[in-house]
Amino acid sequence: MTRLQFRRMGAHYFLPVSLNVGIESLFVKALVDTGATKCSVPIGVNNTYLHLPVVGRNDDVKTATSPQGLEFVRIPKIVVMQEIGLAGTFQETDIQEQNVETWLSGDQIIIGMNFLNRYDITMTRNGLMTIER
Amino acid sequence: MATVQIRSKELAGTKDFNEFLEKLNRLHDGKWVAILDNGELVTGDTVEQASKAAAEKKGKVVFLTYASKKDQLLLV
Repeated sequence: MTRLQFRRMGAHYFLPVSLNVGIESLFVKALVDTGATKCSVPIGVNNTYLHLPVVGRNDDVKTATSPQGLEFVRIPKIVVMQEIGLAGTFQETDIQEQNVETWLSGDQIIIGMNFLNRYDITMTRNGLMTIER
Repeated sequence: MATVQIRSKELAGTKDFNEFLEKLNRLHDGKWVAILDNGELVTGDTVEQASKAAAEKKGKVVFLTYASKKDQLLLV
């Protein structure tokens, strides 16, 4: 069983995440968003680093401003990383999913429910989130 | 298992990932921040600009983030 714990930052939880495409990977900060059906990356991140083809589109996605159509890609592997030892050193964990449908939208990298709902997640009032499976 | 190491002077004095992110948010609010394998930090208003700045420094991007101090409403 893998069990990871993260500390709240302000009102939110952020995860250190590796977006893996083949042998290339991009290490990023990702916002945990239980209000998001799918994961999401900005279009610029895909165009510049991931270079994944659009594989589908969801019309009429309800967003904070208005319904809109969003294209999505399929990220081959998303891995939650764990900080180890000295600050700045991270290791892959077993909290990872393959072929994750990911919308191209916004200015944040988001971990949405299509990733989160594969795990047991708890958040405490003193600002700790635990992810385990 | 694969590891990633960030080298950056902004890590100095931070005790974990959250403190590091908070420092980046404070210093570079509203910018895309890329930390390179040579330890340099570059920013841009867009991902593309940050990537271009990284290329000019001849560095490989080790860590990428959007720095923001703002509250958020995100539903997608």
